[in-house]
Amino acid sequence: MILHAGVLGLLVGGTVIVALMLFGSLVGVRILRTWNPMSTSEEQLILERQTYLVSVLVAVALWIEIGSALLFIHTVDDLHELFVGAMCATGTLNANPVGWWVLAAKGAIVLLFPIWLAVNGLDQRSGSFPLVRLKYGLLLVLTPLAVADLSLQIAYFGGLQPDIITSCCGALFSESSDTVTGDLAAIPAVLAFPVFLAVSLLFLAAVGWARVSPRPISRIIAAVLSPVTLAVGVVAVISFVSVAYYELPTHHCPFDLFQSGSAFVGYPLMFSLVAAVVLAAMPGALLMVTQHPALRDVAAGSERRWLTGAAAAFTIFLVVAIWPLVFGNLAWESM
Amino acid sequence: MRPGTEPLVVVDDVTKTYHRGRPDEVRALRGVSVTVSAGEVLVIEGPSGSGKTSLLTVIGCMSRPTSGQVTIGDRRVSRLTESALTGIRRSTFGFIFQKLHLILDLSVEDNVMLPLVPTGMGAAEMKKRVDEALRAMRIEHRRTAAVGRISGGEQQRTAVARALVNAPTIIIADEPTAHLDGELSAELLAILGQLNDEGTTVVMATHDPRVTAHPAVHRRVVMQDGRIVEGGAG
Amino acid sequence: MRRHLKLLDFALASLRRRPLKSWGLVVVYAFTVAVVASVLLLTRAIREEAAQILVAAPELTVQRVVGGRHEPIPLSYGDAIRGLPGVMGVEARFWGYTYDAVTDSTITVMGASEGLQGLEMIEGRLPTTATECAVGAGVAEMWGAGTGGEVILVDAESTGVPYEVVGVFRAPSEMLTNDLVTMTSVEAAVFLGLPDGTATDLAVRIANPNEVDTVAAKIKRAHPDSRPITRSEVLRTYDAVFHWRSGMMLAVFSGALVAFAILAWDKATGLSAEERREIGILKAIGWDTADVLELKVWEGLTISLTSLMLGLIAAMVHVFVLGAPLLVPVLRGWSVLFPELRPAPFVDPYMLFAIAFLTVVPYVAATVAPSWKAAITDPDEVVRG
Repeated sequence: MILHAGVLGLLVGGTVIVALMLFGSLVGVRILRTWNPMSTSEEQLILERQTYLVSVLVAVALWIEIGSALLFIHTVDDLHELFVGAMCATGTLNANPVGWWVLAAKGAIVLLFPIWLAVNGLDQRSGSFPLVRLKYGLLLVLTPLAVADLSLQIAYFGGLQPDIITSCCGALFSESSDTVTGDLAAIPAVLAFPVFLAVSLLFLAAVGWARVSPRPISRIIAAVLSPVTLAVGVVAVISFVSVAYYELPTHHCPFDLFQSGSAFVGYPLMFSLVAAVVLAAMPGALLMVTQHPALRDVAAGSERRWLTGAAAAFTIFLVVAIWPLVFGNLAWESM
Repeated sequence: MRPGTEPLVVVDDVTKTYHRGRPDEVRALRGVSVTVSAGEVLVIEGPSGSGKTSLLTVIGCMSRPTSGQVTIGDRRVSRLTESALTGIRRSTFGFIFQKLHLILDLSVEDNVMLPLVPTGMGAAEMKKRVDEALRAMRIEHRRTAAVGRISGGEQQRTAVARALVNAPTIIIADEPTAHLDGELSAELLAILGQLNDEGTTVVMATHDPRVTAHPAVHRRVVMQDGRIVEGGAG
Repeated sequence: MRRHLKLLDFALASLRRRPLKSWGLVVVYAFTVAVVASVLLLTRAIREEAAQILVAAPELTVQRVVGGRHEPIPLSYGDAIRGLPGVMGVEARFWGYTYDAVTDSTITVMGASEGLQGLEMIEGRLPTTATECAVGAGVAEMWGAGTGGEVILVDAESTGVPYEVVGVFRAPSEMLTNDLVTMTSVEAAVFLGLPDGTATDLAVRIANPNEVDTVAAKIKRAHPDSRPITRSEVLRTYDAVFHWRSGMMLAVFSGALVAFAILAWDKATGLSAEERREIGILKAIGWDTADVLELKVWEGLTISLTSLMLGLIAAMVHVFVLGAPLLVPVLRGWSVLFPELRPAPFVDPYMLFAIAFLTVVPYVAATVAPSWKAAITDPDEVVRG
């Protein structure tokens, strides 16, 4: 176990998130059990007011989790000095492979919580709470995720021993390495870049179409393209964006982008990408919900905002990703 | 203004019970039906505890009836959620409370602006509306004074200005003259009469004979023990 | 957007209208931040300082270990090591500690060596004869002895030996030289009572950093009783120790955090009748539960950011200007002559973020439920008086 400010912060944050989510679930279950939209009793009114409590709890949990994800990346980055062989976050994560699961859990939470909040927002603005059951059902899926996140973090930091000799990004993101990430790194930029550009334009076009067209198919296409875009975006970062930022043809580690040497460019890069795909996937993922007769009006406005947000966030991502390719000093052939 | 025949608010067999099922249960409304027509000045009379305020809160979308129907315009509102009711309250109603309920350490103009804050209205538009309301109530000269430091009459006018600022269709006033002397009461009634002339519907609860006798009042209903005993509709 | 700004504006106004409550909370909050931030800033600054020292340290230090204890190392080992490929040079070092009863302090005695060449002298020069010495600023001050003065130290045979001070050190980091007395290498070996032909340890310079581990392994194989220590190992140990210390302190202070969260809870729950009335009015004239919640969020953010700023400034003044008088006793090592701490200001965004996270998260968590409770105030209740 390493006692370190970041680690303590993460454990405090994780505990708070779990506490908020458990409290929220408890209230949620109570609401589920006695919910009766036809009733005009004071009890029903109290339940309606408690839905606000749950949504604030989840919203606060999400914000803490976003902060916690940032802190986690930066903490494992900071801790690399303690491990022989570690030069950045990759090394610290390899020092106890549970770390990769923590990363996955944080990713899942950051991707899923906004969807819950979107459903909740629609429900509250509809004026009749048609989605209560769906909402609190979903909540019971999110809470175990928060618990898993905290447990994994405890297991991860608990299992970190400063004398572990670890392998770092050189081994994981090297072109000659035999891992999946190694294979990704080995994809030449001349191949990866056109694919990346094509997928990006397709994604933007789909978002644009969904923005102007009310047809469900447009939303489904945007939603299906979202995970594809996320995957291609990550591959692009490993394959050539990182390389272009470091100006080192063989260095593919995406985590160094989060260090001060790269002007912390990893943060805007990853967060704009995640925000873009989450927002773009929202209308499609919530198609069942937005087609609900009680919600169609409120949903239309929200969908427009999500899609505009997705387009804006993705534009930021593209600019940050392509910037070093255009203005950097590294020749294409060397990637 | 002559009241139209078109119903603006329809209250149909409404009951309102507070603390239902508990020892301190209060049955404030016991089956009330009343219709408010567009453009009329309606006075609800009755002794205290007769259910006047409860009826006003139900009409003003401030609370949901325990049973029965409330329709405003063509919208059934009795089963809407609190936040939907808030939306209607914001767009349709202006309130003048018995105890004024101003925020004493805010300035006159800030108090008047409060109903507009959550609407997301632009600053210029907001200022225009506030200016109009202050001018209509002739309280512009005190606009930056803290409400706690102005006279009772000025406070009264600030409260009315706040009720006007969102250009409501209906003004709900609960015992508006309860704490006013004769002169101020007359002034307030004159203002309400003028607003009514400009098309605003007014619903007032009172047991003040000066109010019921005022020429601007078109109609009155009398309540007792949670029921309308005189002048109700249907 | 305009709506959010208006609500923020109103939130600021309502905090201003309750100065006592707002400032009371800010003071306690800022104090909590200052405590947490002081610990982090201080340990971070000391780590940086230690790292600075180690930059000048040799790539490899070789000690001899007998029965698990550090013993003098024969100089012949050094000759063998000098012959290894990749080794640029080997220097025998003579150093140790002596207790000085007069000033009740422990002093580091060191033979003048290459490693000291880089150190800046305030005045004077390095010792050249057996009766001369150069001292660190701390020693000079305690003895009241500048250049030309005299210090008397107790040697291995318990005899007091007088030395003439010929130089006083100043170093970029006081930690390195404060409690230092240097004499010639020969004299240091005699003073410390090292057996003939031995040194305290050997400093090995290696040209290519990638070969350090290989050279260390070769030395270990040739002399099984030796213990080669690489610079990066020392650095890592330092890091671990300082992390651990600051972590321990933070763990202790988490008590303060909890107390603070309880206070925040109490402040937020204790909605005064006046505030309750106000929120009731707002709801009656068309504010939604969500609007009031947002108002509360803005209030909380304002309080948090103000306190964070004030707390950070207080911590920086405490650590960097005043030298952390409240924390040094906890962190201080064994030496009374431990340098007076004036760490170089060192702040990075990560640390600020960690501080913010440690203090803001408990506050926010403590105020969620009370804010909601305030937001659902029934307008009906207020109107009915």
